[in-house]
Amino acid sequence: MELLLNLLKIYSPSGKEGKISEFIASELNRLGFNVKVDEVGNVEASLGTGRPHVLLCGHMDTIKGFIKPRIRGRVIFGRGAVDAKAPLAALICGAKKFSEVNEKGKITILAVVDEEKNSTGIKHFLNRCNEEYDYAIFGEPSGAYGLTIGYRGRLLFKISCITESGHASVPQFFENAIYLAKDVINELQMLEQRWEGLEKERFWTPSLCVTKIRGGEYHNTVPSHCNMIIDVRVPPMMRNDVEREILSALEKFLKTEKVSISLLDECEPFLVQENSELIEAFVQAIREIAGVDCKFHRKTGSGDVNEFIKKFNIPCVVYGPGNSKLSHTKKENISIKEYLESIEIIKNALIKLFQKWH
Amino acid sequence: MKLKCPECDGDINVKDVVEGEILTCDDCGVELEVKKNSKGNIELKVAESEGEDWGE
Repeated sequence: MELLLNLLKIYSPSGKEGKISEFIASELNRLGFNVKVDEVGNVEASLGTGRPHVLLCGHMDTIKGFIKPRIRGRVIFGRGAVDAKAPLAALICGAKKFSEVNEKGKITILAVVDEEKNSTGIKHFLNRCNEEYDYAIFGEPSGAYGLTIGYRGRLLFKISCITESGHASVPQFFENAIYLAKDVINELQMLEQRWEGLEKERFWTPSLCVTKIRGGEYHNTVPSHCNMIIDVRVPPMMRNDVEREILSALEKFLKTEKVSISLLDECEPFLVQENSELIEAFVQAIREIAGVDCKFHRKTGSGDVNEFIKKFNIPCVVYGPGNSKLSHTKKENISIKEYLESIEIIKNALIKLFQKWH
Repeated sequence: MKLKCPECDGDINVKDVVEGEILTCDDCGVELEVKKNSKGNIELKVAESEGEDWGE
């Protein structure tokens, strides 16, 4: 509990993780881990040697908006109580408890920066990482009795609309780049509605959202530039089809050369088979500790695991206490019972996993 | 009538509720189901929820 409360007390919005990075490094050092802090502030801490080698990765940053940590009734309020300091603290405590009853194999805790914005932490780690891992557990709120086994992928596009500018007093003689962007958005909305009309489970349905837009140059000039960003979420195995549909929907605009589209970023969808031995270890642990069946979640968003699987083709799972509906809200809080149970579940799952090797 | 949220002890005003109704605690966001105990009094229990999970 103390670790979680101390993490919650340190305000750590993305980009300002210095203080919390120092705290986590110091704490892991005190717990007996071999600790390294990299150039961007990621903290990497290991115990043991040999195989299997399990990576437990959580993120230390949160969204903006501090919530004063406090215990009230059976819950703890605080920014990051759900997303994702409680999952990170649970991974640390679960791993430490496991190491007290196990001497074989290796555990690495990785606390990364900037998961909430650009995933620069995990990207930086993956660029320099030469280690081999056998399993990876990512700390995000799945609920203590649940596992997240799927995230949609993401394509981030920039669409630029460029026209000839002119005096705003005679708008009828000049094409307005903002109005052109409006027509592009209308076309994209119709595509979105066609996808919604498929009436499939949301995880298996693509979606798109215009997330940023900027246009116009002067208050008395017909706008000649308008740029927008669209965030597209992609189910497994649909990446090329989705891109094709977007290009097809915008074909009439792209032909005019006044509209162009470019891919800014992408991450892979993540979907794991329910019968992997990593999943099985958690399913058994949840049954043993909590006496309930594990719930499997396929989420509509994305996480750092999407970046990780570009490089590592190993069994991965996403686990952590917390109700993700409270993520990013003013009411963010975690059940104390759920948090403490999740620590035992992580310890128990690691025991079962390592037993398969020794 | 005022009841306490079983999770965060926050105050919840209940009026004209029926058994099985789902309320949300304004303080902690937990979903609560209205139940009647053996004495016929209204109480609130954390609801089993199957809602959509948007993820991160």
